[in-house]
Amino acid sequence: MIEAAIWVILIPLICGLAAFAIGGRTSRLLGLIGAGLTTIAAFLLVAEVWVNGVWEYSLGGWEAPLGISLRADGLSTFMIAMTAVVGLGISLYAVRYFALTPGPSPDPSAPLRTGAGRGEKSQATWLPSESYWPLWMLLWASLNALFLSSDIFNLYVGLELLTLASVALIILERERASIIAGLRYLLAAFLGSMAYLLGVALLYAEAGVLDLQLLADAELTGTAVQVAGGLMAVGLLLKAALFPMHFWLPAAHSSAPAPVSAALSALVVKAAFYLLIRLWFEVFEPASSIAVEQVIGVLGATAIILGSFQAIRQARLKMMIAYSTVAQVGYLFVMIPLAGSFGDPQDVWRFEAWTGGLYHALSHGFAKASMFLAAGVILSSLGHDRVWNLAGSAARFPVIYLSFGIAGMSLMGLPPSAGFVGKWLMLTSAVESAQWWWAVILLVGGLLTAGYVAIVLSQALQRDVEIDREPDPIPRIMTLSVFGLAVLSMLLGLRAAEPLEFLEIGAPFQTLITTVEE
Amino acid sequence: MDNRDPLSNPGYLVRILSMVLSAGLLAVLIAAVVDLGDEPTGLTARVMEQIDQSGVSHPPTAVLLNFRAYDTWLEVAVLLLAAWGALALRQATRLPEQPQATSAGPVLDWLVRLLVPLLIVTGVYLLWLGTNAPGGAFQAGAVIGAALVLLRLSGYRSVGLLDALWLRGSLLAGFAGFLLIATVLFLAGWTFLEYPPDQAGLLIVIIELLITWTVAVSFVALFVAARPDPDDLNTESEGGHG
Repeated sequence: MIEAAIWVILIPLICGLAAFAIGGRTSRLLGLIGAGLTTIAAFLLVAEVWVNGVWEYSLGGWEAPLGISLRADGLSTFMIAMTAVVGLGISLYAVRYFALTPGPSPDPSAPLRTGAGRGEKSQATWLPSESYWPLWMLLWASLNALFLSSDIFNLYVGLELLTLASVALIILERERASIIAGLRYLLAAFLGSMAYLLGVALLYAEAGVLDLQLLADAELTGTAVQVAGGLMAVGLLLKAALFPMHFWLPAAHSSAPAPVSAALSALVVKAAFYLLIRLWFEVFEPASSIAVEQVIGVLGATAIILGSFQAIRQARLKMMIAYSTVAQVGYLFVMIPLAGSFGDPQDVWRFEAWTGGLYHALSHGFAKASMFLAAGVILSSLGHDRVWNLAGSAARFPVIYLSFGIAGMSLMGLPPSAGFVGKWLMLTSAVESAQWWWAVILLVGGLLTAGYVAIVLSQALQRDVEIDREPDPIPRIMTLSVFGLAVLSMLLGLRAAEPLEFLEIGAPFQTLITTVEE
Repeated sequence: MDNRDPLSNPGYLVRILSMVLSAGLLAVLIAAVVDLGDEPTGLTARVMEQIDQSGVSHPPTAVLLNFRAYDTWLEVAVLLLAAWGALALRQATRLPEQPQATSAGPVLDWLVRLLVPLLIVTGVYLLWLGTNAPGGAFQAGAVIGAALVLLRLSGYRSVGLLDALWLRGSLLAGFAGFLLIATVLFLAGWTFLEYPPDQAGLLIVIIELLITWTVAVSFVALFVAARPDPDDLNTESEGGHG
């Protein structure tokens, strides 16, 4: 047994540490090696879980509740695999991206001086391209650690690692806007962490254990558990940026460098979402109620409508895509009332809603990463990303806009995209459970998404427009990774049976094949 | 600071809202705590059962460095990210010396000469104590870090002597030591993050030593990077080279 799950954490940590220690141009190579090996390890883990079922491991040989357990079920492995493919795409893109944008110019009005960038010391400055790789490797490792951990305190540590790596990446280019956005994000995320930690303390006081499986088996109820659940949920909703706690997201996601924006929107918000649904449907299921679930659903619905409207109104492409993330996060949380206690435990449509939400997370991961990377190409090649000045630029980089369109189709939920599969499962579930109001929201949201995608494409596709500046050529690998991620968001809709079956492994629901698992 | 910033100068509405929210949170927390059962829960008994195999005799150290070493390892990574991020933001590749403080009088001088050796001895003692009494790497690191900050504030040469490579190494030491030991043992066939029982005590001491130094230097790095005036930092970095 090679224990692939250990390696998906160890490999990025080793490569990240080596990149930290060595620095310079080698860090890029180490980052690429790390990305490649982690992806291989992730798919070995997929194979292992597919064949052998749920994988469990006691770190240090100390079994829970004394020690910390790692656990890979269908859901965890699904998230790790998504992170691997999206992460590999982002890594390939980043190789050339940081060569195109050599970082901030020594602008005298900049808030922080690049004082060390002179003379012989220029060797020793902190270039964004060098800091990116170790930080990105640590971010990747913390995502995998979070998906694998089965211990609510260890998950808190994972969240902290994730937050700090994200903040360090947002402020990578040390521009004023990104530093302000990064600080706001840091404060919001820490508030979320503190709320989560408070919940952990209460839960530990009540149950005396920290292991997720043991907590789930205890079937906890009562005021203290509900308060703990509420605190943890609010903390995680803040990190997942569900309306109205999304205030930090647009600035933070749009002011970061493109590979970072892509990782934040495609992966980092999903980590908080992942943890929330794991806690919600496994630990807090007995303490949950229809009313609370409907409220979460209403917040999700509001996010879909308002986020999409905001996206349509934005003048800058990266802001538009960031608001689109706010809207798409809404879809993920509409899953909660659909899969929640509205139905009986044996209702199969609850499982359908759950997989639908997760499939939507998957499709959004690929599509949004592709969109942010596309915006990065447009921004660095044209020198701006003003939506109303994009006229005619599709002639300059047709593949980029093609990818943007494909990714947009997946976000809208048009067949045969992965977004369609996710939305279809949620729609079916809404109809079968007679919660028709969610079906209406899902459909209206799709139309609004079509609105902002159409604005960009209709501008870009205008003909016979004079372009004031010849855009810089784009490295092929960047175009390829943008296109590859978009195409995957489409292809995963054609081949949905296996991923959906995979999610049944260890799922906390009555499914078509497996029996109910406690 | 900017007066238009609502955070630094909140209006009445914001104040009342935050008061209501805080009061609500307090009420909810009180309700939760009242609801908690009377019987003590927790894992103390289990820790005491297994402590003989942990290589140390102080329960918190056994939990932090053995039973839940994974948590501690990731926490060291959190510390690394914080220090690294702060230094990158400041573009500081070294921790520059404070220029000789003009106000440093004989009293300060005397006090520093008295306190610094005392702090270092206390720090090392805390580290050594950690195996069987309250103490350990983080406390020891904090005390030694304080000694370094004191030295720096009063104009003595200290962490500025670390060149870029040594600074980097110091920040990475704790995390890297953990990673190296864990990876080598894992490749040798042990469970991940498991120590061979007869070497557990030694390995824990090695890891604690490295973490102590990393914690101390990280604290100084955060202290230096938190200086309000970046120009100050940069001019010093010129001086530090000379």
